Amino acid sequence: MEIVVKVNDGPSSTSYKDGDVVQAFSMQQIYYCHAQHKCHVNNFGLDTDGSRSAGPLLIKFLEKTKTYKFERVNSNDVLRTNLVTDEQKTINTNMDADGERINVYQYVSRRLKNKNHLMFRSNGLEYWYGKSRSDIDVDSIWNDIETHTDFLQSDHIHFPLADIEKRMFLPMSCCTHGHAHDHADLPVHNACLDCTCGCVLSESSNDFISERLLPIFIVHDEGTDEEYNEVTHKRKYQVPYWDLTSTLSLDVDDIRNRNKEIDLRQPLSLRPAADLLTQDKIAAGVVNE
Amino acid sequence: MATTTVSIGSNQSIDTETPGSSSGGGPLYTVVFGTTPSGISVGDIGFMDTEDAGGGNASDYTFLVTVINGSDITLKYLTDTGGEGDHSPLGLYTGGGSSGSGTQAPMVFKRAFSTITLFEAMIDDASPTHWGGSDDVVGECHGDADFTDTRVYFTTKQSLASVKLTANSADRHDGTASGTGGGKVLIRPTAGTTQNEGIIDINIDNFIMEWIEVDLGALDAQTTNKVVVIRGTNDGNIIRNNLIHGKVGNPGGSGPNIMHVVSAGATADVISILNNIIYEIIETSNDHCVAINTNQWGGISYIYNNTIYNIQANGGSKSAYGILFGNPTGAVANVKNNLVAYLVGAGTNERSYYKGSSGSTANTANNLSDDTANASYDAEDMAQGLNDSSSLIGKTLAEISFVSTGVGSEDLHIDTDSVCLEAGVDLGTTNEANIDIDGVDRDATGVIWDIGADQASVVESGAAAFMMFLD
Repeated sequence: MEIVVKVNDGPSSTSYKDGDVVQAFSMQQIYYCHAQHKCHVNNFGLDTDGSRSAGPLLIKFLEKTKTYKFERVNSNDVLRTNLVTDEQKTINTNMDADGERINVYQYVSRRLKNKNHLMFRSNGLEYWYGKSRSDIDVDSIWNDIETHTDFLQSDHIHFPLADIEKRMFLPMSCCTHGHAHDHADLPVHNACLDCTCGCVLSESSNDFISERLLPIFIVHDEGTDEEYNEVTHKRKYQVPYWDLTSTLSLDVDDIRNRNKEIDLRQPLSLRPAADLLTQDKIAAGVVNE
Repeated sequence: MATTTVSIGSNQSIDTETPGSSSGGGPLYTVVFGTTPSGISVGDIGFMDTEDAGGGNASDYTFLVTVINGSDITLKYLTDTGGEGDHSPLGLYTGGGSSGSGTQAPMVFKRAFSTITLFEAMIDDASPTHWGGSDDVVGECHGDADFTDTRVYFTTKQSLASVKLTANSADRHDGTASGTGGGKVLIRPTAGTTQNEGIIDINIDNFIMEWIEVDLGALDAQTTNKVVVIRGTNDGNIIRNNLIHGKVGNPGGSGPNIMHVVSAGATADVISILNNIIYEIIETSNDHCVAINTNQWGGISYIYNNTIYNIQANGGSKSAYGILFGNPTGAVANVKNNLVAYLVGAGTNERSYYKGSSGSTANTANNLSDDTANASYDAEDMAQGLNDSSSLIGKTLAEISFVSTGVGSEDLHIDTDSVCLEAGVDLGTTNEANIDIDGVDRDATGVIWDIGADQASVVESGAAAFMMFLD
């Protein structure tokens, strides 16, 4: 995972504080972000009839990210195929018992007006894809990208942060250290922070990553229909980078200098332990619950 | 006050070109490049890695694209890391060459911010580099890849006059779901947040969110139950032309409230919710389900021309609400031209429109409810027996006639035979209420307003008056 850490306190009581984990990305998010760049609609032109060119990479991408394929079979009927279950159904202008209908002429005409449309044609009849999947196999998509282009997944391990973000925040990477071996003779914290520990390293879980972005809040009107949260601190987790200067060889002055770009993101084999790097501010006594 | 636009997206290598000529004085330079940059937009950053000719004095220069006029690109000097100071992009060198004949450095065009969260973090910064302290700041999102921000909390804007979160015109949704990878501006979180927090959570005045698609499809098993939360300080908040859809399931203890105002505001405070489409919000674990909830807002609200479809509650006494509003006595809710259809609640708890109390003021007109709404909560009565004779009630889905209700290919534009055509009331141009979900300007085109977010009819109001005269 990668994290972006706030440098210096924000100006108000509700602002981010020095060390807050402002943003966190899983490796799957990072790979998928780059995959979308490679498979972006703008990389695939239009055919002479105005439909999108059905490049094999684009079609493979859509078939791995969408649930349904829709195929116009005549002036009125559309065949919907569930790409996961292969279940099929025909819908048309007549509303069926499930409340489904489509005016395919209107539908297609409207889509084709947008220059970024993803409307394809086969034998003069349109087809398209719909409803994003929740279980996207990013590695499989990258396999396709590597098949059809010269890009390599291994060259796309960092989130594409903007320049200002690398100067005003502190990008770092970290991961889960599996303590499958005995390194009791080493100072555990330092060893797992500077990766001299010999642990088995792996990507942190999605739950762990999303938890780093939680705020600290108070629940009002709990249990009622009007229940709401009042955020008291924007983030629950921080990286006390000022305490890690020797372990991670950091220069705090450089980090806090907005004219310097400090990027501490590392290859997987050199990533510090996420559970040591990120600190629960309540547990650490930095803030009250 | 100045308006500063900054781009938000993940493309950090849009194009690289070399300046050929420059005019103007600092900090604004109009530059013509050897080859006109492609794919760039106002708000993008021009980055130059420079050194003096022959080496030395390294500095990374950052410019902001402020105007694009054909081949003329106006760039504003922002910063340079070496402290060399304001300089035209022309005459900044790579370090190659020698004094007097340096090698011109190229400019790499990038987005200004990579995520909405990091844009917000700079809004919440006392020393912004990209905009002035009292500017109107526009964060313009690009469809480079999905935004996966789980919760962006706008808590403070320092002294900025306003903040707008919008989509670049080329990358806006077309009123239908583009879904992941569709090249449009899409927020599609893949991780949840704590329940009752919004994906876009607003606690500042003068905030606009527009033209954003939010797909909740990856959050079915997550407790995220709100997309837009307006909390606390919210005078002048406008939520318009957004497309929100796809929450099926909710493991938390509170049901979906897709747009939820949890603050009361002052009586003179104004919020506007205009021309949005919200559909397929399905609670599955014993809770109410609400599309638009301004029930706690005690100020003035304008809820105009929204389209709401397929809102489902779950559980023995749970209700599905289209628009829930007007609980405080001092509230003034203007609710007009909205379309609410296909609600599923327990028993008779399908509540298209629900005015929270009899003491508040509701100015209603030309709203539509379908035949799933309980009669007490339809567009005519709204739980308070309003008896609004301008409403359309009991309409079937066939009469409403959306272009497509096919699952996975929903298109909630209205078809040519819809009862919504020309059934709305002219609501003027305040806060761009006249701009429909496709960007059609109802005012400029002079058409008779339709009900809902889509303006399909092209019949002009003058022509209609003539026809009525003939009748």
